[in-house]
Amino acid sequence: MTKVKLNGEEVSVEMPKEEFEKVKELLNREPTITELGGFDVMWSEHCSYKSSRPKLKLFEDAEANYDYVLAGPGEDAGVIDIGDGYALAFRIESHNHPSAIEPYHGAATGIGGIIRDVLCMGVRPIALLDPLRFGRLAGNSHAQWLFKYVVKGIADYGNCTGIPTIGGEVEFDDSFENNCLVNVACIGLGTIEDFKHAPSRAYNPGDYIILMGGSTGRDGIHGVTFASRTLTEMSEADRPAVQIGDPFTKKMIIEATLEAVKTGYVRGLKDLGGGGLTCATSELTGDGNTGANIELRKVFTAEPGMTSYEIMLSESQERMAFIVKPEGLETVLNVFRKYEVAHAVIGKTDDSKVLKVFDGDELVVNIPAKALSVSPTFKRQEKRPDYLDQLLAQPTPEPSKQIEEIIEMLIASENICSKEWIYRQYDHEVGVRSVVKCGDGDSGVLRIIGTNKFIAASVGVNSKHCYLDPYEGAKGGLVEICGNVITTGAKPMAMVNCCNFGNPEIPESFWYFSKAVEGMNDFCRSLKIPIVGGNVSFYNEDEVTKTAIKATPQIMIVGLIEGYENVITLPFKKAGNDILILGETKAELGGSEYHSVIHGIEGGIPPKVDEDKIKVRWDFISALYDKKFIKANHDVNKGGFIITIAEMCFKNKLGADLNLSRYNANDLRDDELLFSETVGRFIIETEPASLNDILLLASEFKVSVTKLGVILNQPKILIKGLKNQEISLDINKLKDLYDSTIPRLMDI
Amino acid sequence: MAQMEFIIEISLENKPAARDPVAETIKRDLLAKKGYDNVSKVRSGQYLRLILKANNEEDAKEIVTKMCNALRLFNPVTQTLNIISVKKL
Repeated sequence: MTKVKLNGEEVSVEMPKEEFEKVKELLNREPTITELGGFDVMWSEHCSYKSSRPKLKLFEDAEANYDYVLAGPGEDAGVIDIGDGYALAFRIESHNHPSAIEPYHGAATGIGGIIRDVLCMGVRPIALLDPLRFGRLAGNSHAQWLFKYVVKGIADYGNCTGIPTIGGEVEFDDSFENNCLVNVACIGLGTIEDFKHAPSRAYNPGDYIILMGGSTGRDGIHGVTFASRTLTEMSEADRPAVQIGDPFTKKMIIEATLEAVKTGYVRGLKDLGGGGLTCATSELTGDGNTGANIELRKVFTAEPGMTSYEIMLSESQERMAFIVKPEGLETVLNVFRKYEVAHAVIGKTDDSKVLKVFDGDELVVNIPAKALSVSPTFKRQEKRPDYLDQLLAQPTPEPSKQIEEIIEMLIASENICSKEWIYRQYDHEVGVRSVVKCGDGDSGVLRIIGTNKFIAASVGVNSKHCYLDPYEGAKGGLVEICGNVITTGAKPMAMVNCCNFGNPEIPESFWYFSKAVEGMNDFCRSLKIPIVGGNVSFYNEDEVTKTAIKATPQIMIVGLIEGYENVITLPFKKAGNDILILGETKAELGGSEYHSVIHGIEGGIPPKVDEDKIKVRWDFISALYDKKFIKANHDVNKGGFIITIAEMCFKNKLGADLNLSRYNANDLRDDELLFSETVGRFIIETEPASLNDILLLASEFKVSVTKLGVILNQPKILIKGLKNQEISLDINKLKDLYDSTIPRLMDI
Repeated sequence: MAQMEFIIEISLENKPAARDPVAETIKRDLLAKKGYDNVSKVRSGQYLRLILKANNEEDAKEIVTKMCNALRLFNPVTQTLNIISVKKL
């Protein structure tokens, strides 16, 4: 908070003093209070990316060389051309701070916001995904409360709007206890025509500006500056910034918007989110090189007596701004009347390049349309934290328990166990597009109705790995999430990210962000994955312990599958088939679940990514798909490959007879071999008849493929060929442990 | 002091500045459409009636307020708790 003198009166603003001076310089006079409020919001970290922008320059043109990318960073959502005249839009963003203080409405309005971002690309939102982070649940009523109501908020909002939640990811870690992470992602589908009708710009003077949807209230004023501060600085008085979601109104807005776009009279479309009307009107006109006259009192308000400042900055939910051709005004308004959504013509665009807002006769805003988007940037300091050397040097203690017991503890641990408690609250089938449902595959798969095309989508990253090495951790996240998409038979098409980090003014926190961005950039360029959008959430700190969250650069990948016969699922299908592992295992236990669950340590050397090997492995899998050799596919993730194999056994109550003596090329200890989280490995099921062809192909591609064993017709896993002992695991017991953890911790 | 039984009525509703989609829908999609356009405002909430042992009225109010807060029967960030009445049973 800064106190500045404005027209003789003292007012409080979020911006530092230098920025206030810059505003005066820009306008060549003192701003009005409404103008100052606009600058204050639009120049906040959340809206302006002032800390992250210099670093995000790395992504520049990371989408430029792909002819199927229709919209990239800077738009409300990334859009790709998936053929047959269809466009796919997707975006991920954070709603961390609101959810940390009001989990139900915070999460629900997060979903509401991301749906609007996708909707304003002119396409129908068809799926949601939600990566989450909470504190550890055991005996922690605060973490349980946040977890329970965030999930319920997502479920209620998504289910009511008729959009399936097809996937997500969750980790529980102490660093998220008070600052949980709620990231929300949405996918939209429409024709390329629809997309072209709805640019988020007002290019033409003389068009009408229509505000449609929810009424403008006093709720949520300054929600974005609130997101640009740590929770510590926030008092009770700040808390009305929390919004109440209204999914049934949203459903009508979705239908009305899509029908209005179909009329062909809509020339621009923008959702009202952070920064409210100020943000929407200045971006529409500023980016479109036009200006506008807005009549403030035309805006329908939730309560009487709202000031111009409040109306311009309100972040009330469920609102959209339309730019409409004059000759189509009545047609568009009739669509809104049909759906009974509130609407008002609030102004007209012109060629002045100035945004003018009138409150009755009084001119309350009179600024160049582009002024709000020319925020200053900061070159933040970065410094590698001193504690890392010690953490990385942490050795793996000798195992103090039997391997069987360790596997049972791992499969029952919060971060590995079944997440059915979460996804059974989500409607993941509404819309009849879902082909691979939660739990059956590493990513959700949706059919594009009317074609023989399918899309796969997955989100996630490993926060423990990123904490130890953000550069390799971000790359590892990409390997894993691309892997999730690949296991269902898809080719990764494009990436969006949501960077969740601590306070950028602290050099150690900013270092994490900086390295993660470098990791994502290097990987995406070498593996040829376009980066089509992103979101940055800073100031994620624990208000009690004053420590930053574990770095979490969430990654979302969307992939494409041609043909239903090429959709692959995770469960083992048939006893007698071979179990193969792709990729070798290295001693990479740093940040593993084995370290944290069994030994209570967080350090060690985390997995490293070898892009060349990953690339060849993906090509190899693609070749196996072409020959129809793969019957089931699951990428190796937390807990190591035995956990992966157990998960594949569960659904059809099958087992596995494994001999690992031929696999341990690096001569690892038993615990290193079994529990390392080396990225980029896959477990596949194939028929015995195709084994020779696969091995031949493997030597051609120079990839490591090892047959670990065969699928058994009984529910047990037998492991031979370890250094110390033979192991026998009961699948039914493992399944019980796997299924019961979250219900038990949540006391349900 | 011997404890007595009290009957206490409370309502939980969204803060005045927060929206109330349930009430808005009742007003817009039902009342106004059926001709009751003389209704200018509707707010919805939850109503609870509890019977509990306490030392006196003030004590009863305090117990209920604390309980609702600690168990998150409502969230003070978005909602208000109003004690409608306290009576000796």
